[in-house]
Amino acid sequence: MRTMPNYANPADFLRLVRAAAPVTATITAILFGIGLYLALLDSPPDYQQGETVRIMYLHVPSAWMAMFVYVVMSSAALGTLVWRHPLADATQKAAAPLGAAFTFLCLVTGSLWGKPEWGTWWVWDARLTSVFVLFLIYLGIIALWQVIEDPGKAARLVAVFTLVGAVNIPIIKFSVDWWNTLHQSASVFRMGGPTIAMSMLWPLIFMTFAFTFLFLTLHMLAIRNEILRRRIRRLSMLAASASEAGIPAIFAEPAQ
Amino acid sequence: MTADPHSGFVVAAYLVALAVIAGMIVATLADYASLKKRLERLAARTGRGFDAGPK
Repeated sequence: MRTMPNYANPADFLRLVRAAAPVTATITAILFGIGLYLALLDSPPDYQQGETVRIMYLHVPSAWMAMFVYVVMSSAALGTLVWRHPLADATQKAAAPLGAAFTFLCLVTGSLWGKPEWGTWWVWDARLTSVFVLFLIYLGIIALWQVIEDPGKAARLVAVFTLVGAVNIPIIKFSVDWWNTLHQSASVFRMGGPTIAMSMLWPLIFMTFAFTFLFLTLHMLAIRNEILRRRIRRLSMLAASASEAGIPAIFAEPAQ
Repeated sequence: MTADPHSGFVVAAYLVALAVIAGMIVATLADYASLKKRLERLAARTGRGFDAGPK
């Protein structure tokens, strides 16, 4: 009888990645093709901002991904602390550099959009500052993984740090409503629907899905890398303990 | 688009995005290639097979 694959099992997960990664990579490429065509060639310039509005098609999806990746990491942190899911800490560790990259892109594109529209590259208003804090949190998480040698201890500490940092996500989202900011208020994800013209909404939707599928693809591949890194660690420990005992590594039992 | 006085900002934003996205893809694939090589070496030393996932 065929049994259901258990994707918490690393071997089953690797088989899933082998099948799914080419599919999600192809979908990502198609979405980017359509999204970039709509964003750069098909959509009109804004009546006030002119061509600079095209930066929105990068800035908004990267901002969305900066927060979405953190939500994924927070869920994985719960998986580590509450359910001790075997892949939860690998999921979290693999997502952090991707989240940092999307947040960096959000900050840079925002700055490049801010200069022509606001007359400044940067201002310490609530939205910009809270996104910058998110970037620092990502860097902190990456650093924690690097400096703590014991993976189990690192996973628990990073999980707690991630959950504490999650308080920043609603602050980012609602900062434009809670405080008077230079940054405009929400125009897409808002009660009462988007206030943006359909000719600009469609490229934004395609680019957002393109970024999301890019993350899904890279995240799957990065989790696979993390599984391989653990196998290397286990085999290295096995080889080291075998050489200490003076027996060929081929006869040694796997290290726990 | 080239007639717009701020088109340089748009071009810069898309170039940065290209660099960041290409960087993420290259870093992930390069990490995999290096891990796979190390795992193959170790598997040969310890005599244990391995499954390195998709090519």
